[in-house]
Amino acid sequence: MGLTREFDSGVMTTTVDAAVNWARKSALWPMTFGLACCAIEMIATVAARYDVDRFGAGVFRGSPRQSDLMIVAGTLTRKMAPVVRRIYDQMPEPRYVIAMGSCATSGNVYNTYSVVQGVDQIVPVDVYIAGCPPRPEALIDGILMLQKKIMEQKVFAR
Amino acid sequence: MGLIKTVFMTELLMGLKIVFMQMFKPYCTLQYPHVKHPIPDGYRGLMSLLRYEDGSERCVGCSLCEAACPSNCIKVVSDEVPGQPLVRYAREYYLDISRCVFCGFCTEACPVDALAMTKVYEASVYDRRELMFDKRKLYALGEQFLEDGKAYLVAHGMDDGTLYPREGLGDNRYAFPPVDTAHGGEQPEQIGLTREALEVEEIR
Repeated sequence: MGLTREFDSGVMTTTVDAAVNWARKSALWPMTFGLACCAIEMIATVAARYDVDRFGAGVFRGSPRQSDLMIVAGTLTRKMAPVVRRIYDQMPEPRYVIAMGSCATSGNVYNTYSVVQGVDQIVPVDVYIAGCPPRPEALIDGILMLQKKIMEQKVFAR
Repeated sequence: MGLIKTVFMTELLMGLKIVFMQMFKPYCTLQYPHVKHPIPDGYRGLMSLLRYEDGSERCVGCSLCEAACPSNCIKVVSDEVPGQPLVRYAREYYLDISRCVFCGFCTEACPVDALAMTKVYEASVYDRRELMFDKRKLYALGEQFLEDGKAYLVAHGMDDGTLYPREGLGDNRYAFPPVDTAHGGEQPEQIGLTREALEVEEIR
């Protein structure tokens, strides 16, 4: 965006910022990126019992061009790492990444040659969720934390 | 018949009827941030270190949890209590929650029931370094969720409140459970030569 963060922060710009941030956080479309067992909990989060649609983050897209949020759920192997980076590059800005579970956060027990020790070596991560795997509530908690982070962003104001 | 079904869209209406009937069923969604599940006592959540009732630390720095951990996420630095050469404690205790698999092996390995797991499962952070728990954080968790920790130990059969009495121990800080070497009263089978037979062999 050409006008990003070029204005002094006044009443006008901060109001517009709040509106834009509200729109962004209310329609976080995640991308289905289940790599391992954490994906089962991610599916349970979308289902009726936990219903992450209440927070606007339930529209799972299969293509990176139509999604804002990448939930990396599971063990990231070195063979999968270029794919993750490429898909992240294909996502339109603003884009967010949640590292769900211990494997995505740090590699967990798989301290081996074939596993990436944390997704943050490949893509910038906004929220880390600890757990092996995290409960669906924990994923919702992470999404709420990401929404809080989005609301503190500055879009137009400097 | 088929034409009538097609014209009046009977199959579509049948489906819509099922959708319509769902409106009168009770709501099954858990309103998570406001309502939370009751968590069972044996739940394996975040780790915590416990203290005795008098405020002294239970951990004796034996590093058995470190040995039992499958993902090598525990680091214990043991040290002597100043002035008491026979009593040890954990000078530093690091637990990397980002590598933890929440298996509970460390709590089972602990001989003094110092480690227990709480019912906390919300551990989302913006910075990965916050997931490295040090001794202060673990004891703070243990104090905050003391009841959870005690309930965990009872639920997993590690403590029924009578296994390790602190009274009458004198100067000792802890007591190990009695080790049953005799396998329930029966002597183990003798393998190889007995002591008497060996002595006979030597004489020959």
